[in-house]
Amino acid sequence: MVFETIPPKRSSRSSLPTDCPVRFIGMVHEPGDFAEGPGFLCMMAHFGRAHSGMPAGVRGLVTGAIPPEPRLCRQCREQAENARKMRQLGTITTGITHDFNNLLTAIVGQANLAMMGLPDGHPARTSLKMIEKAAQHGGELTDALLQAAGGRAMERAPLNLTRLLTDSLAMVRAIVGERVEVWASIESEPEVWVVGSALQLRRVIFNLVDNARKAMPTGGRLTVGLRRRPAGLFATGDLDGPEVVEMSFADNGVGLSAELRSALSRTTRHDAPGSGRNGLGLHLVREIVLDHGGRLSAMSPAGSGARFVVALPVCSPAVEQMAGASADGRLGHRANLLLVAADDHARSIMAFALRSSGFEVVEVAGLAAARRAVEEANRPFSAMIVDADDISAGDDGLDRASDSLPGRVVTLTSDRRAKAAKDARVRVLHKPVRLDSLAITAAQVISESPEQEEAA
Amino acid sequence: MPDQVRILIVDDHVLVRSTVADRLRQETALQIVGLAGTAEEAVGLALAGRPDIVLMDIDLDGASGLQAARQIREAVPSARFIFVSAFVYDRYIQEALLLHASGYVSKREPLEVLIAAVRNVAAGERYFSPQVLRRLVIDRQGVRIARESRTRASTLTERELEILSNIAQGLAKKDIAARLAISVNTVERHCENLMDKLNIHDRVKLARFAIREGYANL
Repeated sequence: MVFETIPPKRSSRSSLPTDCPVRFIGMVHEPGDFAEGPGFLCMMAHFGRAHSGMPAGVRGLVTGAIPPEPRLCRQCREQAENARKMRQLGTITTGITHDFNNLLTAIVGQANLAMMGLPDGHPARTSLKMIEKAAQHGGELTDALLQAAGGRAMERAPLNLTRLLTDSLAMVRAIVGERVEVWASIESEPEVWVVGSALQLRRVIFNLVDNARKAMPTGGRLTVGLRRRPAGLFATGDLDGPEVVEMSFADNGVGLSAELRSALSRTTRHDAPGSGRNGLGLHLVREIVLDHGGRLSAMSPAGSGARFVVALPVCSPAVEQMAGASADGRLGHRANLLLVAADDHARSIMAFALRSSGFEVVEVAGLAAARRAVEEANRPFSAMIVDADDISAGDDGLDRASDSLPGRVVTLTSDRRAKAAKDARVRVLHKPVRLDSLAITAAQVISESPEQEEAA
Repeated sequence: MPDQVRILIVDDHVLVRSTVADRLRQETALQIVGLAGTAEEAVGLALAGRPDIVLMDIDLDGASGLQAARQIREAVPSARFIFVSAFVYDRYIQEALLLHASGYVSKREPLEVLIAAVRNVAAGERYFSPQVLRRLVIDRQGVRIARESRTRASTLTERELEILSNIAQGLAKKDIAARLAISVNTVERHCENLMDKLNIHDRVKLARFAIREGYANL
């Protein structure tokens, strides 16, 4: 048999049925939802008594290939077979989209080449532009396919959660149908930014909304909320950052069982018998929220509906705007930086990261060369970035760097004790330092300099 | 770099490599010294043509572009590498960094970005696609992948990588044991070791990690 189970808790073993001890309940809706990639089948183990009812004692996961037929009833076998087909589809999709991407590269490239050979205003240029545009659109589609098939890791980027949720409300109304009234309580000012995947967070929203719909089969009210809260309060736990955002989904449906509430916090699977809520969807939601560094919690006063809260760390709009500017190459505004680092390879990659954000960068390998560069520069450097590990460890190294160089200095160091208390001009970044944040820090340092403040 | 920058293009899709070559021929000061479709061809052409820049597709049939780059680097130390791939796996990026890659371009980028990357590298600079750059940090050892758990994969032995690949393919321990002709106990021991090294103690998460990072099809 080509599968394994995470065994049920000892107390639940007695309830194992003899006819179908490991029952296939379902594969996640899309291959990328649960096992991020093709060729990986994921099934939920069922240790319940009745086949038709919701499982009484779900305790684990089954992963791998489909169990041999005698162990499964017909319904489970059919579901497992469908899941296997989905898996194959995922594999095929990844392969085809990969090759298709290469074809698109050739199409766009040849269209470009053809355009280069044509004079401005030639009628064929319009057609070639359209070919190029269509192929680029095809590339976006293959990206989406690859992501759905799990062939490509999900991109994470700063995103405006306020806008995402607001834009999703029309779809929310479509999901719940006419019987359910949707109320929105979204703090629109200031807009909330988080780092994450818009695609995944939409899945969170739609799964929780669908969950609420199932809990209100005869209709009811769903309240979708969004608000900021200080970190450390209820439901936010130990999330990073001083502030979190809570995205909530409150319904007045059948509520949550005590079993589901506790399962939500401790297991990977949580179905509420008879409630109609979809445990698989909640599992997916929880996984995505955790992947985003957040927390999922649920409250359900007896018999009066349920409220699910997704708490996510907030990042400041200022930083995100800077990140956006960085990506556009506008952050640096061609300010000139002196980059001091001994390691050629690391320095050249840091320089590339800074240049990509619009800075002009002069690279040198040590402090002596840095001093020469300062003397010979046509215009003063806006700031200097120094890899202090290359100079010497500790505060002494930082002091030497800042003493040697005029103006604002950003120092990178592995020394956790290092701090720039002696000199306000010096900003210390402890390694590891993200390369995409280097440009943002440089821009911040430049914007804080007295010259810039005077200019402002 | 000499006046004429010598370029070797490696891609298993003939249409892609010929398109890239056609486009690069429009650039002055660039000379195409070879077009290769496999790692073996790439190594042979690199030895003969001694390129300054190698545009290396990672996902080749047979030996990978990274393996080819390792051999070329030994034989032609001055060669600079721009890796190209449809996939931005951390494992690829990490190996590319170990090979002192001058660039890593995602195939999601337009062709003109690849051309710009060649120009950058020919000028002694670097080019990394934004989705690659976002994953990089600078630490005590230089430029590395951001997430620690992923870099831990580099500590896995060949056998542990083999086991990881089989887990990601959905095989049970006893099937892995049969496939690798070792005992189930040995498989279990390797499993424990690799889980400790990766700090992932959940089989499902382990499989997700393996698939995401491209270890499933080793």
